[in-house]
Amino acid sequence: MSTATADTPPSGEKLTRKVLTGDHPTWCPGCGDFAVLAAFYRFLEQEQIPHEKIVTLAGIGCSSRFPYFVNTHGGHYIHGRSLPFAVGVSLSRDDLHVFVFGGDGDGFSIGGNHLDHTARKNVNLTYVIMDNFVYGLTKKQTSPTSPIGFKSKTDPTGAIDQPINPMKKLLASGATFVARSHAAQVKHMVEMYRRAYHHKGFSVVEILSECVEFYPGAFDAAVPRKQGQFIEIEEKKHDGTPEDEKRHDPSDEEAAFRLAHLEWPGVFGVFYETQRLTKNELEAQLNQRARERVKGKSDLEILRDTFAKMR
Amino acid sequence: MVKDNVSNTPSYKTVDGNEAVASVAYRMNELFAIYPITPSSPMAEFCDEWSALGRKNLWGDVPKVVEMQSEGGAAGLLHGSLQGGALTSTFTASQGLLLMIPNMYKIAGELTPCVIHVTARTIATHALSIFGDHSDVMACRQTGFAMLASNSVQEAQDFAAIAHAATLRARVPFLHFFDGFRTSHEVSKIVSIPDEVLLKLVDEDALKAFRDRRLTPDKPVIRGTAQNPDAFFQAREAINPFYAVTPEIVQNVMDEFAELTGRRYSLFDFEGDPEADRVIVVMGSGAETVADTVAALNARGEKVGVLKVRLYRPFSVKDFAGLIPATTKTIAVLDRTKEPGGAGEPLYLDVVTGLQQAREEGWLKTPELPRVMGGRYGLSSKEFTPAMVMAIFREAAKEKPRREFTVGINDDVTHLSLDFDPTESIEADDVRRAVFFGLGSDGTVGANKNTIKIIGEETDLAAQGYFVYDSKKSGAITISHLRFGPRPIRAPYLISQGTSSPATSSPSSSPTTFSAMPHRERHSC
Repeated sequence: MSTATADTPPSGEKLTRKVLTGDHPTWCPGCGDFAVLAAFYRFLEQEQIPHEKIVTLAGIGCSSRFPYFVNTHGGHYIHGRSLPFAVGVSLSRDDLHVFVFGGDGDGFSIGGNHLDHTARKNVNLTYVIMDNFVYGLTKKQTSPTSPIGFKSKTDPTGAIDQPINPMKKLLASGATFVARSHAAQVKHMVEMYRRAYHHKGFSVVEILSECVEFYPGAFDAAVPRKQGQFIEIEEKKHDGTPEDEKRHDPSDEEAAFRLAHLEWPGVFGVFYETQRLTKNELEAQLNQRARERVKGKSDLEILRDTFAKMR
Repeated sequence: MVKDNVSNTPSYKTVDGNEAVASVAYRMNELFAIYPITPSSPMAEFCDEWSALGRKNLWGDVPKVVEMQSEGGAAGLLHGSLQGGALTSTFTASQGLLLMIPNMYKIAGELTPCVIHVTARTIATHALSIFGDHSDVMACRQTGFAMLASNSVQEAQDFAAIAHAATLRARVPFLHFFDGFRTSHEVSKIVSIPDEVLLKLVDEDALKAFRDRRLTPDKPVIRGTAQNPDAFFQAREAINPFYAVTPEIVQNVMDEFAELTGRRYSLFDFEGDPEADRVIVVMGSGAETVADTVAALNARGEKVGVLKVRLYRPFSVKDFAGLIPATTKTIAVLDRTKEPGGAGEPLYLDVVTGLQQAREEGWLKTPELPRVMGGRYGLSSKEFTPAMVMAIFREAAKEKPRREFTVGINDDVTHLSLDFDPTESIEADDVRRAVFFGLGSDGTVGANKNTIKIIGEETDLAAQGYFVYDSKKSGAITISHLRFGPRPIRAPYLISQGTSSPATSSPSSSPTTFSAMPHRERHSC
């Protein structure tokens, strides 16, 4: 359907922050999302993806203002449904690089179901979850990642429900690339974006991004200048050294689950990465097989053959 | 069931629409299934706060508030809790209401009494909008929910009570709606409803019948079964008698409410010249603007009137037609929603159909079928002012008025919009009006809210406050619109001229509308 545009040559325009900057962000001063955005600009500058091939999509929430601030193709979709929308874009335009931004509400509650199925189908796109552990845009209600005891407008005496463990959920859903980062670590975010982008299939990065208005200090435990610890995952180098034994093998799903079980604030980096045919490839194979069955004949030839059989 | 008038001395409070509705819903329910969505979230938050404080409902219990993972989840919990025999309610708007629709069919189909309170809000189409119109509630006409429309903060409180009382008696669930932001967030001085009035409105036999239908091991039942062509159709039609009596039940509750409080409402209310030749049919906060303008025009000798629709579903054609003056030549129906491609918007269609039916039945007093115009106004909280009402009446007075029009915008694409003179105003001389500009977090809004509450609660004056600001307030512009005066204030629109400004200067360049503000989108969900 879209082959005409798929061949469009890159514009040759150099991607700079200036080129990429859209509207001025309307987040509250001090919001973690500013850093998530800044890192995204830097990643795009480094990768120099053809400008016209970048799509930035979002659902609803503070995080979902993202497309307004990035000067690319964009879409601000509806509550919890950014992923199915993005799947449509990815499958119909295999040449585009689809980035979806959302928060813990869009990702884990109202859109939780879509996350599971996009992950297991391994649709080729990158999903960034800017997790702030609270519904910020509606001004402080309990979110699916709010910890037990968190006091909000919907839990004035403290949250009582077990929160989601994002890493466990993402691993269990069948995502083929699962990473975790922190909005106070710009270099780390850029690296995670890069790895996620180069991964073929569904890549997801959870970024802890502090809501300074409604959950200040939520992620201080992982901020070194606030006496926290930002522990990066050391990945296996396969160099045969004894210390390599202790390093993490991102292809080891069980090991990824063990990392996901670590006590708060846990570790940051690539938890899991594996290769599996993408939904895009599987769909293409279906088409290919259908064409092979008719030996590449044109529609008219197929019709003629059919009539011939009926004689 | 009405024994005596219990509230001879009204007690006033100065609250916004959300708090007014929540105060009634909280006292008349045992459980709330919620999911936050602008502009309905404060209702759930009030309930949660009161629950945390241990405040009791009418029966001495502390209601529970449960947040779910989406409105789909909230609607499911609502239904399940009702089956369990608990008086349950929810609050929502816009896409949230859309997510409840599958459950709403089930709740209504099983004749499960409950009320969903909706701050009517725009549904995302070409763009998302958090502001108010009726596109969400109009998407629920077909669910089988009764629909009751409130036009002001006072009515929102009163109709919340009427809806909760009526649903128990009718078994038909109710969608009670009022305009998002314009009513939900307007601070207004209203007469509160004491517990004893609410208790008297609750029919104890109906409540007992509701409890008796709960799931219990003593008499197990199965509900929500699948049916085939042999049974489905006739079982579905068996629901008709319940809808047939619902308007009468609602009117009875309204009559009891009037005896208890002195505030009288009907399924439809007509205001204006009994010999009106032009009538506007409308529901929602816009009806207040029309009614106030009609009063001003009547004073100038114009034969105009307004017919306010309160119970929109079930639509009682006979009651509607009975209120159309015999002198009516033209009816302008105003819809705060858009149905592209339809023969007209929903309320327009009901009026046209209703007039034809009434004529066939002999309920219509006019010698001829009146001409009917259909107009759209106020989408996404677009301002709707007396000047626009006057433009509609002017159009209606023409020999061949437009069949379809819009008002409040300049439609330079399809040229459907009526021209209006923005300098036309009906603001009364004895109403003080003030507009305050501030920067987010500078205390202007808070100070003005206090001012309105002090005027409302410490003086005999009526008071109204409406606040235009970004949900991310810090650093953005805030505009506070304050009115107070000796009579109830029926002006659900922004102030274009303060009382101290010269009345002759044009308000068209007024900076008090949000669109005139610096480019900074209100952002909320």
